[in-house]
Amino acid sequence: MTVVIGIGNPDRGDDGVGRVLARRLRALAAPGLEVRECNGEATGLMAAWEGAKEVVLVDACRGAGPPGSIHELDVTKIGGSGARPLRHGSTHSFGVATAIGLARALVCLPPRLVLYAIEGRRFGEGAGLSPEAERAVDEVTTLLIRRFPGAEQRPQGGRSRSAIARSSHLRGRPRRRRRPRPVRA
Amino acid sequence: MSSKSRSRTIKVDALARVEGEGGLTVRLRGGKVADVKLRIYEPPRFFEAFLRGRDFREVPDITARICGICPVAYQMSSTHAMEAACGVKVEGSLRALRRLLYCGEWIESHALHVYMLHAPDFLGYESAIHMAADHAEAVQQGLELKRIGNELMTLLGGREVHPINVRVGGFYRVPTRRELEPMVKRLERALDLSLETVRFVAGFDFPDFERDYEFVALRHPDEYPFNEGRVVSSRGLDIPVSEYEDHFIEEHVPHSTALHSVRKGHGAYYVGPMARYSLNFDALPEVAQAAAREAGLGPVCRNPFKSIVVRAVELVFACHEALRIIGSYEPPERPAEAVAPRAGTGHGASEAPRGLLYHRYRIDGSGTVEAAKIVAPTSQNQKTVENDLWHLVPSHLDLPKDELTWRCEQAVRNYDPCISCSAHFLKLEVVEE
Repeated sequence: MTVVIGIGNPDRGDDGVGRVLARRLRALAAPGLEVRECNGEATGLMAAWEGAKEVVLVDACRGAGPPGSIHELDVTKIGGSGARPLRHGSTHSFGVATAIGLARALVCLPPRLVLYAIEGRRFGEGAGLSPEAERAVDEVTTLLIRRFPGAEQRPQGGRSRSAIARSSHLRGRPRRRRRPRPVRA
Repeated sequence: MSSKSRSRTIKVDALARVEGEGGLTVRLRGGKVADVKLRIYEPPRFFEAFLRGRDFREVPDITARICGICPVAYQMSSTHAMEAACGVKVEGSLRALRRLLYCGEWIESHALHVYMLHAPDFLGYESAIHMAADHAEAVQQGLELKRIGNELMTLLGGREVHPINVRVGGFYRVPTRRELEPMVKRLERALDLSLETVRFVAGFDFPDFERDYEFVALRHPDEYPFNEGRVVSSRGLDIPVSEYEDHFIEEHVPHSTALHSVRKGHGAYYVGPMARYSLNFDALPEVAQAAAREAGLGPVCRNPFKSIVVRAVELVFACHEALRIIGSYEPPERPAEAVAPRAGTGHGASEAPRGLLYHRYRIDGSGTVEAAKIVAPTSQNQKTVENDLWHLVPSHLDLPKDELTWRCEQAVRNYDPCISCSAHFLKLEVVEE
């Protein structure tokens, strides 16, 4: 079972893109995907992924590409403690990076953790999703159903990363590897 | 050249582990402290202004947005003020459920501050993440405690941040006994963790620093205060909440977008766990009193660095109180008392995790808000934070720059400042001229 966690504030425009995606995915009742929602607060996020072997986070980001672009980051394959954001920010920055850093320090990071960050354009109160974010929700929803069919449905040995890349719905889209910056409203 | 005659500038651009954003400047001249300014420069949030013209029933949900850590405090102070204006008193199970919701907020807020924000200061780590590598068990304890507090908030409030189930007169929906039942085991676990927390923090090294504060908190004849009581102080003040503004005023200072509070004719005062504890020790249950004694605390604590121990003792209280309430819970006949609007002014004060939170509203006969006043704990503590630095820095001038800066930051964090509530982040700057 893959746990998909949609992160954000649904009342702050594109910041809610993860939550919108989670609700859409839940409505589709995709087999093998357990869908959860989280406001992004670090300890709540750690609780949301507790016990899961494979976790997909979907959050909004800003500043790493044009609105609607999708950044994929396999967190379990990168280093870093996540301590810097905690040291230099207030509790308002206790977000995804803190959760990952803390879980890594406590040796309780899910064995596989993939982050999809969607570039937002507007973050105003009650603004709803921008057309760019809407399109990205559609793309990532389709992508997740294809790529994370759940462990019990997966062919023996799972799908290799190259197979995932080949089947990617996003082929042709620029694949940024720079660290996305989740946006907390 | 001695440290007293040398000029030096100590500047920290970002004081971390506080709620919100602000700054601190300590100016030294000739080896003496020349000025201390807690600078809160976040834009004013104008809550009091945009509450005007709103329906009185909307206020608890609007004011809850002031803070993501202590929304219940804003809901409680505002509902009590509105009920006072409308001549309604909420009693029985509804009153108990409000205390239970407040227990959840104290548990999650205190656990966050003790483990994630303040403990790293005493153990010499930059952050809880750094601390986690060496103190994994302690950090796990803190996370578990916070989670249990959040669960209680979610159960009663609908969600843990900005709960949506509180209304003037009570709740939109109240839990059944069966719904509360699973919390018993969780809270028993939380009580054990809280007692362990007291032992954990009691072992820290505390600076030898005490001041003769004027403590201000609510006091109730029968219980440790949450929602109700008289405003009392360690210097003899004893007034109903409705007379708060006769004794306390807010002043504008150029370096802060949050107003400074003073007690008229007396000056700075102290609100928060240490004030609450020192004015209400006798109202704590035996388990919390015993934990405090075991930790070396007397019935009054004047060392702000030991506020972390007091917070841990309050965790014990909150878990014990939550268990007591659930154990005797009988669901109320209805989820809320009917509250019809009437023209008038209502005052409410409750004990937020960080201290006394005062609200006052004037509404017209149709329930439209005509005026609002909100005095947050951090804005009341601003002058006291500055005064602590005036007294603390001179005895630490020989410390290396980094250590002095760290100690100043730690002294600010003693107050668990919620700068978001008072206006928001902290920049620290120590300048020697």
